Amino acid sequence: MDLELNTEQQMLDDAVTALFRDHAGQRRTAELTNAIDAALITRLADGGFLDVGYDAGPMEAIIVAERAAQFVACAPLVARVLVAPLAGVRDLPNTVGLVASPTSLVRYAGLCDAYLVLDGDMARLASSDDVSVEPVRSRSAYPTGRVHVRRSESLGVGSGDALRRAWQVGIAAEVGATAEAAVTFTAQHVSDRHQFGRPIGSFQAVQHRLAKSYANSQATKWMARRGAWYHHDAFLTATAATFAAMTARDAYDDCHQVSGAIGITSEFGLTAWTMRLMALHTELGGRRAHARHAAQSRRAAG
Amino acid sequence: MELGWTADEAAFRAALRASVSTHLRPGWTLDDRDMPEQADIDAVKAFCAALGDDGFLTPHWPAAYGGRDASPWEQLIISEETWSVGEPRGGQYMNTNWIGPALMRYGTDEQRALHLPLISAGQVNWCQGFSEPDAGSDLAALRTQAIRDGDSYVVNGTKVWTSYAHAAEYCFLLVRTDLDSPKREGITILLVPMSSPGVEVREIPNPYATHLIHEMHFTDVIVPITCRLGDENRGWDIVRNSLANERVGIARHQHTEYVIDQTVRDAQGLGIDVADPGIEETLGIAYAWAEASRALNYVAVSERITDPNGSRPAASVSRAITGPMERMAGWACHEVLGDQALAGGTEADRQVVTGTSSMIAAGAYEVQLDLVARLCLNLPRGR
Repeated sequence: MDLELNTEQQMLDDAVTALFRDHAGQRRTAELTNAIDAALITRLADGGFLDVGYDAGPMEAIIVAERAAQFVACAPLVARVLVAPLAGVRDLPNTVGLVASPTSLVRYAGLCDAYLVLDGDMARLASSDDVSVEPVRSRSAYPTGRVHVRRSESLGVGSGDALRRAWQVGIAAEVGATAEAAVTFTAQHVSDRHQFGRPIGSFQAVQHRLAKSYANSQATKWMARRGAWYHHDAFLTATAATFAAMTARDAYDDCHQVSGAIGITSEFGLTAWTMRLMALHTELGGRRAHARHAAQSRRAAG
Repeated sequence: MELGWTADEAAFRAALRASVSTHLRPGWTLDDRDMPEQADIDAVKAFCAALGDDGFLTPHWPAAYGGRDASPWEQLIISEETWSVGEPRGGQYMNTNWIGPALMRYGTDEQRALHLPLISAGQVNWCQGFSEPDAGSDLAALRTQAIRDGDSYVVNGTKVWTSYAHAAEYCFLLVRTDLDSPKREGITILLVPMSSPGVEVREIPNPYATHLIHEMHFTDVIVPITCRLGDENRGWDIVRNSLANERVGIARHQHTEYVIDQTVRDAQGLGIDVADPGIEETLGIAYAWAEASRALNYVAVSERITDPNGSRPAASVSRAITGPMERMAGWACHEVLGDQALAGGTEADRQVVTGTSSMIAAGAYEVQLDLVARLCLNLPRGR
């Protein structure tokens, strides 16, 4: 086992970090309302970053997915870069939405070129021409809506389970990096903000909340990485998503609580991550559904 | 990143598992790890000796000391395989993980010649004399004194919460040898034979387990200076390094998953519907915590390989998850089994002990959070 990035992975991480730093981030996301960052997608496609999951492997895909989440990229990148390759779905357009059911809220609904749809034990692929989208107003950080599929292509026996496992990994990867970014951002704020004559981050009550959330974010990141590596193992992908849902909720609570009132303003910046955590917390059924999948897969394995 | 086990690591695990299965005393449980009876003390030594004969007790030690320089990953695999069956090494995991390595690094030739063969043969139990009545989480506040008298020290003081003291032949003892210097600078380590006159061990009664914790009284105990590990007053550096090793690679996640699995079997035996949505949710969350602990434990092992002399932030991050994981598992198992969990002898019942102690022992949970806040988030120190 080797948990360190190899030379190629480090180069990939450096390159994609620089790209997101220059072309994504809170300010860029705030400029885009109900839109996908098409310019960013083009840069990623031109650089070959959208296809690293196919060309290099799951660890490379998760590197890109984590950085996309950290820099709040305004595009469904995790679905395209990580989830689709893990689910074994190839030859996709650049933007892909994930649909859990006809009633579930879909991130970037109406803005994607295609949709991967969970349909019981089956996964299906629908083009944007073959769906109708019902926009849903939400305070979540994403454009959302319900996607009604008129026509779709079956991806074969077992494809539903494969998509679910891959999606669980995607949720964990996105939550891990998003929560880490939110906690790190908040740690800087409480170090700078003085009350009672001292930084509020010097109070143990504040430190412990952030330390706990930081530990949760690290666990989630590494569970996602393990889930990506062992993406055929339903127990590992489900436990990763279960823990991610708990991490999302706790990081949301802890970061807002210690930031105080400034934390809920758009100007401050924390909500760029926390409103995403709120959406990720419930995606694909949330903690309860993931946990049940974990218990069922463990029991099935004997 | 290569997150899978190599073929060699997988083969090592398979061979180790066969060895453990061959030598494990039938019916061994985690309760036996505390060695409440003499038969358990004997069983630990017999198991460790057999494991040593098979090459699985100290493979991570240097070849010069009977090992084969196996990687920390193999050391972790040993921990996973032994914890999954109730840690039949008893307290000897301490010997092989950090007491032995500390002796190699800081010990004299005579100390190495005496102690290392005993440890690698599985023929000795140690305990660690760290905490005191007024020095728990603030370990450096310890007050047990060792006054130099010619070629010996005279030791007086009390240590508490000590595991395995009743079964130990030696104590890795922290003492204060300089009362005037700053508290971390006046500490020395002594390797004390527990048979020394003036050493008294008393079990501390508790409702959890027999011989779980002890107090040790040292009254005018004469300890030759040849039993000092490292330089006088320089013990804190050794302890810091040793504690970092202590915090890494103990595969509690493996045991916790075993406990949850066994609780599912116990529930099925009692006619409880383990497919009930609420029960599945409870179990799934407990499993998720165990896998979180596993993931971070692996990161801590990796950190030990890549930055052995650093401040080891990943070790503290890992501990910040492992403690709650143990406690969550205990409550989850109780919720699944209901009042049947209180019937003695179930894994759910034993998990109460583990869950309670894991957030207290070897550096309290809150201390780990302090370290995470400082080392990972660079938060300002309090007053």
